[in-house]
Amino acid sequence: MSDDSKLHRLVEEGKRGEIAAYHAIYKEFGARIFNFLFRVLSSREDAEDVTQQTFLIVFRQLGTLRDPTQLESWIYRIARNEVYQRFRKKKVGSLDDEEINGDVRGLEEHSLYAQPEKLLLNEELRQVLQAVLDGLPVKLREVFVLAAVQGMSYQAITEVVGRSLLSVKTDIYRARLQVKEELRKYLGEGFGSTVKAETK
Amino acid sequence: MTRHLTEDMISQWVDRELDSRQAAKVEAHLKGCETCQAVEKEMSALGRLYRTEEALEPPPYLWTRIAAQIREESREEKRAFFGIGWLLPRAGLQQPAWMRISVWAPAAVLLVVISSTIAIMHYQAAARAQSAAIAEIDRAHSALTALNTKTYNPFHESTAMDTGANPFAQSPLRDQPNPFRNPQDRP
Repeated sequence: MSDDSKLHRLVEEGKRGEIAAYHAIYKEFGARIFNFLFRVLSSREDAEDVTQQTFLIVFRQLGTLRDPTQLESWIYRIARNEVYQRFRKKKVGSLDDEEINGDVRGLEEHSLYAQPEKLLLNEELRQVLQAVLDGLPVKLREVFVLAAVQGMSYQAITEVVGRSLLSVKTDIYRARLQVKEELRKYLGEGFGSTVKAETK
Repeated sequence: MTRHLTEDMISQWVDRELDSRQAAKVEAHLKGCETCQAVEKEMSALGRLYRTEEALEPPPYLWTRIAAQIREESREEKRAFFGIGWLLPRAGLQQPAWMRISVWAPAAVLLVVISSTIAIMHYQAAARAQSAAIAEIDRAHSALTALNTKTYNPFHESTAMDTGANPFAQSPLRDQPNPFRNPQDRP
């Protein structure tokens, strides 16, 4: 069965309220949405809450989804809306398009200049990576996570964030540049050579 | 090598967003340019660094929480409007938010039904009493008319002094003998 027909079947069954279909949809997209939310919200608890809220909205409103092939970007859009609502409620995080928050929270606490290879995958590096992401405005953070971390195509990202392709390209580039500069401070210049190549 | 690649272009190369012609151009340049290679390595490393932690799995209880909430909402929908709310999603329709207020909606309907029933019963009882009164008046009218067709005038407004208005009188009182007077005491 192709992915499209599988999605069609799941969506149709979900529209009839079948909980097995809901579970299958959650298993298909739950982990990716959770990771996206964790990266953007920088909190496991918040990511859990928003993931739960996102899927509840998805299941409640599944009847309104006309094209099942759009299911993934639709779920991401709902998750993203929930993120923005959460930021508005908490009044934390910059939603300003132009504001670049240069103050990378918590980085000063880490002494990570030396021996970057030893830092890989340890808790300190995890904190630095997340702090660097937190230093980005949400607008840049979300597209960076979608493109660089989750490997989503630029076209798909435009559907999620509702901006033009040019705007998305520019934001990804700006985010990547800023993350690179921040990581250079802590991992040293040329850290690209010290980070192990991906094994696939 | 003439000019270095722009970081924007390398960023798109890393994300595999360049078309085949541009990709070939970047690939050829990277082979012979250590400066651009270093930038490309750093940009690629960013994604790898974050993806290393991508193994984050949502906790198992998250689905349990979601499923419990769905089941609860499903039960509420079934209760709402005596089953109509439950049918809507199956008909491909979205249930309006107001229908999810499943406790208040049936209560409101019940209240309207009860108050309407009471109002209708009250109206019917009043109508029945009115009909009975009219029937009684008609019956009395018929009986009195039959008793004394000459003296009975239903349109005459009677007074206490108006003995002629007494439909039961056989004749005016003055023509009758006084029952309290001795017949021998005639003047």
